Amino acid sequence: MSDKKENPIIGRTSATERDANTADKFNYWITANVIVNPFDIVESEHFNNSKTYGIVTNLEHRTDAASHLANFVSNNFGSILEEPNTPRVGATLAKVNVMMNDGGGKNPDGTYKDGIYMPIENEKNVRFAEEAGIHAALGIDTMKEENRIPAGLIKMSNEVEAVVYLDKSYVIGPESAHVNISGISGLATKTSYAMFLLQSILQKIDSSEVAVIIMNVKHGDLLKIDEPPAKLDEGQKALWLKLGIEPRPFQNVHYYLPRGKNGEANSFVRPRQSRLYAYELSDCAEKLDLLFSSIPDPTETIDSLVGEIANGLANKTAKSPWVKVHDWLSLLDGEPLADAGKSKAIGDVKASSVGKFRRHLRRMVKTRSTGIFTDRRSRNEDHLADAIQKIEGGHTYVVDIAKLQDHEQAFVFGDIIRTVYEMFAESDETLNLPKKVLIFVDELNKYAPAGVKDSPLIEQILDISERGRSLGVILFSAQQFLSSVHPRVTGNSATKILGRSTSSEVMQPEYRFLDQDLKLSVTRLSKGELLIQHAVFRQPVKIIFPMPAYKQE
Amino acid sequence: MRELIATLQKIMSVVSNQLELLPASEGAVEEMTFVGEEERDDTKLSGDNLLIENSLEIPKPTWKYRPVEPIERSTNHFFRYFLDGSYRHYFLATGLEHDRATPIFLAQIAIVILERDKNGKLSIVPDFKRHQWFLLLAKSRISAAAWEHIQESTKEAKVNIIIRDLAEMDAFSGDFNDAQDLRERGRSKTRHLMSTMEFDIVKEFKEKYPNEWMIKDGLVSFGKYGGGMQSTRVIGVAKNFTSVQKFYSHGGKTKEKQSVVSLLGELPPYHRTTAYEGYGGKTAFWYLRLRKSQQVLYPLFGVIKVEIPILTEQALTTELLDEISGALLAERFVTPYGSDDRWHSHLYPIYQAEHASKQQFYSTEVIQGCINNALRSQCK
Repeated sequence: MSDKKENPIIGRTSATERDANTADKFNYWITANVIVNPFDIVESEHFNNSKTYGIVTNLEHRTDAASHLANFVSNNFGSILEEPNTPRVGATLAKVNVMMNDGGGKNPDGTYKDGIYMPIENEKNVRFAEEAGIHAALGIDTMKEENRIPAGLIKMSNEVEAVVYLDKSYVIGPESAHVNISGISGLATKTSYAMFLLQSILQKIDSSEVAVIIMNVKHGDLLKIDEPPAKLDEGQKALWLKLGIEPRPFQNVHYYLPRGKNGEANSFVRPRQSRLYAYELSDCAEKLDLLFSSIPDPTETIDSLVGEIANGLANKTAKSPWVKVHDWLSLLDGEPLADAGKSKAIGDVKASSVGKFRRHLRRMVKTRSTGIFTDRRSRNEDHLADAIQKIEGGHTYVVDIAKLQDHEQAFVFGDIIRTVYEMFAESDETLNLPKKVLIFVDELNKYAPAGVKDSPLIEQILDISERGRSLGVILFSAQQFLSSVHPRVTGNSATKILGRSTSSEVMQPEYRFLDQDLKLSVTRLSKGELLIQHAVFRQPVKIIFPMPAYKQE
Repeated sequence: MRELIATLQKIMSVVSNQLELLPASEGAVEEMTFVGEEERDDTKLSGDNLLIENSLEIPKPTWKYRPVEPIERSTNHFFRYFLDGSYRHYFLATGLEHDRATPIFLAQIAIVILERDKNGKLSIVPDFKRHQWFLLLAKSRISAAAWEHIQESTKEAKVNIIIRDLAEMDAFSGDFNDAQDLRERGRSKTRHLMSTMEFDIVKEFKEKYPNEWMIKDGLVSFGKYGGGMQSTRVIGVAKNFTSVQKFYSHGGKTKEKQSVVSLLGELPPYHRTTAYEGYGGKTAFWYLRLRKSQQVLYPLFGVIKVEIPILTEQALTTELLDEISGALLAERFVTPYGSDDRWHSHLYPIYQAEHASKQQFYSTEVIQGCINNALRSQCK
């Protein structure tokens, strides 16, 4: 316990007739010349020499002016030249959400005594919490040392700093899992944080048990993550070290770039050690539904036709009508889907529906394709699912989809998560799989948008969101607006990270886990500041984090 | 609070042993104060001093009203100390002994002196904060033995409660006769006790801070009844004052007799009158208009009465009176507009001193609880 002289009193609790302290909240007035901000964590004296920790959610300045008119009158009826001899008496009041009470100390076994959650009485001394207190307030001090994953740094108004740790078992399972990052904080903030957190995880756990798959969705942002940065700012370096992590690039990175129309990589950047990936028809037979994820199919006609094609291609015989189908062109223009350029009925599917299917498929794999759909892959072009099936713990796989069309991006992402999910769901001991696979994807709203009930891709994402935790398939996702993503996906994320957002966005029901006052604070977050809501934490906290320690375009 | 309950129980036990008690209808009733008390007291203290003729200002004025320039804190921090007192007053019961009866009151009085620092921030001067309990009953309406026993009961009590004779003559209550209603007398007795306490604390303060100017809320002497402050560099400021006096104004060669209403009705904004002689030549007083008449609802609003003891070492020169008035004028903002009906004449630091003094009070609910508890255990 710290010497009280070193931790000065910054105010006293205040309960009034109309604004009571409760088990959940208390107020305190702030003494002169002390700066307090929302998200500062404070401690108040309470019964049995215990301390109650809380987070400041809002601040109010109150004066004895009965109305604004009183202030107008007090300035000589609106004169801006008058200076009062005695400034009006005012006090700044901090509103605090209770986080925990330490019961007055620890039991011999190191656990805290039972917390006292009676309302804090009037005029109890309040201080800024110190690092140990912040950890106690968040429940970090009871986390097992080996489970602690540095997630950022709390920096309070009095310059006290505290490292924030996430509990591994709530980030990558088995207790809970998944991380979702939202916000409009600025260029690459969400991605930077995801990459920082992945690096933190890889350094703090046995990395040989974890494989990481990263979707590169913008420019060449994530195509040099194995290269050290040209220069890392000393302050950033110090922040990495303060968090107990080495500022270093990712290791054992494999890059997969999409094939372009000319057979070259269709990427903004061509990293070293990269491979191309492409899809020929046989690679896609079982996955065509993913290609049609964004096409409305209320009568399930497309679904039925996709089933027919998958079945036909898988069971070719000499007499099969599918025997001549060996590439995209023959599927589109030949039998059994067409004859002499005209669509034909297949099974119960009418010719008009087959025509519609062909038009969509032609658009997606031919006319509007960037080139990843090829009739025959060359030797240096991989089938992505095959590569994914060989993933190893301790390795990171970056799949570039930045230059792909939207339907291609959805298809590739769907292919990866379906492949991974099936590998883990159906794994037996013959497969040498890592214990966990962490998949990071930005712009999740493209693949699992809110308001769309069902699609093959959403089903796949929901499978991972809801059952991935137990299988070891963990989704790290990001998007600008939390409300734009399927609620069952975000709802299953045990850790939510929020960057700056708009006032209309934070009023959406998806943000109900935030206190009303804190919602408005989200609109004021600076670039590089994030809120973390973690399953273990009693309240969301504001953190800063270091910029990535790899080369960025 | 336990100490207060124990003390009250002990005293009321003795009182009930000595007197038959008819408790107040709801156990204990807080007697409310009213806005005109200050004006009524001023009228009483002025006594028969109804025509004011002499100006004590040096040199004798040849003007009727004199303009005042505000002296801001940033220019000259003239007033740094502010005193105000408050009271709360509860009717407990009627004590009966044979054919005699006396109301019994409990009063709490609180006083503080505030200090203003160079930045304008107010704080309580630690040694100048008082809170005192009084029990009031008429000595002449009960036997000497009963009075003696009740006095005795306060000795060694955990909370200091002073017994005072309700019928004793004082400046605000006047002489007592059997035709007077003692219930009415209770409030004025409490006000007198508060003023006496204020005078005492001013004396103490001036011993410690002889060179500091201080504003005291209200009067500085008991007028025709004698007594009051004899300290330099202390003024009393009254927001309400008697309206029955008449004045000979000093506007030129001819003297003009005017009522106070007329005198102040014509008083221009940011002007003062000359310093008139108070009762018996012990004090001087003048009026200062803080606000334009069109900014207030009534022409006499926005005017304060300033009172100062007359002392040989403190000559009431025009220069001094201008300086005091200028410093007071600078106090006109901020105002408790909307919070206090007397906002137009209130000086904000005094308003805050009043609030600070009241912070020492036990709440009415607590007091009534304590009193009812004590009475329940003693009354028949």
